[in-house]
Amino acid sequence: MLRYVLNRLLYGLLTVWFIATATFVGMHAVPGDPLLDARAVSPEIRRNLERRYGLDQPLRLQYLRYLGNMARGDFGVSFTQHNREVSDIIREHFPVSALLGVLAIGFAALGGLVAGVLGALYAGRWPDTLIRLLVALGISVPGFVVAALAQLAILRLNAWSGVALLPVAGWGSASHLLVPAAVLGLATMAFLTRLLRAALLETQSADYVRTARAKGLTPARILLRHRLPNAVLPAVTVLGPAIAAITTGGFVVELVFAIPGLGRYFVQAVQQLDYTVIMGTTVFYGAFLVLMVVLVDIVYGLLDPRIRSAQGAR
Amino acid sequence: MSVPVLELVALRVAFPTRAGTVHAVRGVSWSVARGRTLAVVGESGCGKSVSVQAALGLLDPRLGCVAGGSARLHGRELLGLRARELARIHGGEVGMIFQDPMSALNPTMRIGTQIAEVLVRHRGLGWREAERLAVELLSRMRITRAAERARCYPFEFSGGMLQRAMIAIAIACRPALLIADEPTTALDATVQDEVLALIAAIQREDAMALVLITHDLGIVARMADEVAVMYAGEIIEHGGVEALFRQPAHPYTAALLQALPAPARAQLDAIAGAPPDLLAPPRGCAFAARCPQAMRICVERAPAATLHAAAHRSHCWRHHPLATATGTERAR
Repeated sequence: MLRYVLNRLLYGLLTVWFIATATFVGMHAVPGDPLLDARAVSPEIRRNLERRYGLDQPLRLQYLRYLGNMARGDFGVSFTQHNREVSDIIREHFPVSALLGVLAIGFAALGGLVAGVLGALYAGRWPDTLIRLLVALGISVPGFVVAALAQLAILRLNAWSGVALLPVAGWGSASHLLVPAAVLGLATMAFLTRLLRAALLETQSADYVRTARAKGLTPARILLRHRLPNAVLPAVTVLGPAIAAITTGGFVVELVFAIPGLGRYFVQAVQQLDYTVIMGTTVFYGAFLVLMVVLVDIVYGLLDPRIRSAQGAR
Repeated sequence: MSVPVLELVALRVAFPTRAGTVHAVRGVSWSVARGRTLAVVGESGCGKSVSVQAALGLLDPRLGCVAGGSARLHGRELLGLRARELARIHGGEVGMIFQDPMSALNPTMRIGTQIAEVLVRHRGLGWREAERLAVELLSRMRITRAAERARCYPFEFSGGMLQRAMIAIAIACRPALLIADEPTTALDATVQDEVLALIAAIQREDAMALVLITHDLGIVARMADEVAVMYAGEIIEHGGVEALFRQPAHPYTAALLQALPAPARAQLDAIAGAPPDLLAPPRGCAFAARCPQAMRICVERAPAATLHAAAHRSHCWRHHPLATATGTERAR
């Protein structure tokens, strides 16, 4: 198992390196540079600035230096924000994004589990039809629409009740988290619901379920101990990509709800071609996602004994 | 004779499908007593599995099968029992072994737990005690290093070991009735032998009634006391294993025996044709279309039972007192 984990981490590192390189190349291929916006700089000042940031050196050297710095955990200083180190930006704002993301994942997993089980239990009857309708909506309606609608709903709710039940936007208290997390997790929840429902229905005609019935077990035990553990595996597999979807989807939700997360800075940095911030956040997100995927793989192994032992044998 | 352990009387099973109603079981009657083995024999789709599963309330309710007739366990009617009452019987009074042990066990649960589960459910044992008994059961199933093996998952077992674990589950609560549905079909020939010997030994120990569903006449000869031969949802011949093998009365039984490999037999005779469509079961004898000895009446009217010996009966017009080798027309 340990060897397996190390192996996966090594591949993860390779992936991160690839992301870093691709971002570097892509970013420098885009016309313009971060100094373009600085109003009316004379050629002399521009040369000075370029020298200061190392932009006058050949791209190859810049790349090597950038990799070297990154390996030491130094992402450099922002081009557009005064005296702010990229690692400071990440350190300050990522926890906000992460908290929101974790909450959203939790919401998605719990909601998906409950809705998926209900859908399978009532397959073909009205609760199932309703759930399937909601699932179709949750998957197809884009996040920014849901976010805006949710804000509208909060406004209406507050106006109707006469007190500010929920804040419309902003950050600071637990109530600020509630709706954005739900909005952020909605698509994943819908996806998980659909997956789990289908997988559960599939187990209905499985031989081991027939055995469980022949053992006279109660329907509840058959569902929870025999059907669910076998149905949950495919759902766990998509959790990795789901985490990716939620962290990237977080950009939109953070903007709409005015949440000071990392996503906002990332979007800003792209608009201003703030090289160091783009590089820093991209690589950071990349590394984070790779780590999540590895974690999901490990969880998957813990759930499925067949994979667990195959890993041990490797 | 005392009350049989399981008794089916004129059991009927039908499945509504898009193409129409499939009459899978069309009036099956038999019984099995304590310590006895009944083999239900027939080719695929003849209704041997379905009749037993329907009798015990194990058919998938989504198929919407309609069961008629009667199925009694120790004299108690099973048909129409509620799911909760049936669940109390399943695994407790009635143990079941299925065909493919590879898929019949839950891949995500330890073998020991899967055995202990029944004990917890029906004997009201605590988990620790049940797990201990599960290990004991495994070693009784001649699985070595049982304590260690109980902690294994199904994929770590061979097919034969899995079927032993399956048997352990089935007999954990010392049932009065054991149903073995093609218990060795998915196993290697050598493993087959061991598993059959194990089932026979366990049956003897507890004097269980055993219903063995199989298409393998070799297994029947070895294990059974009585045989019920099914064809197209009906029993066409029923009798003691000796009588049935020595003097098969029904042409279908005879044909089945002809298809069995034997030392003196150079060529096996396959039965030409296919079983009838159970969407529209034939009016007369179901086997008539494939029967080399069919007469006109065979197609027109279903044959009544003919009693050959104390407990040996068959359904064939050839055995009707009025049927003779030459005057077939008079039989009408």
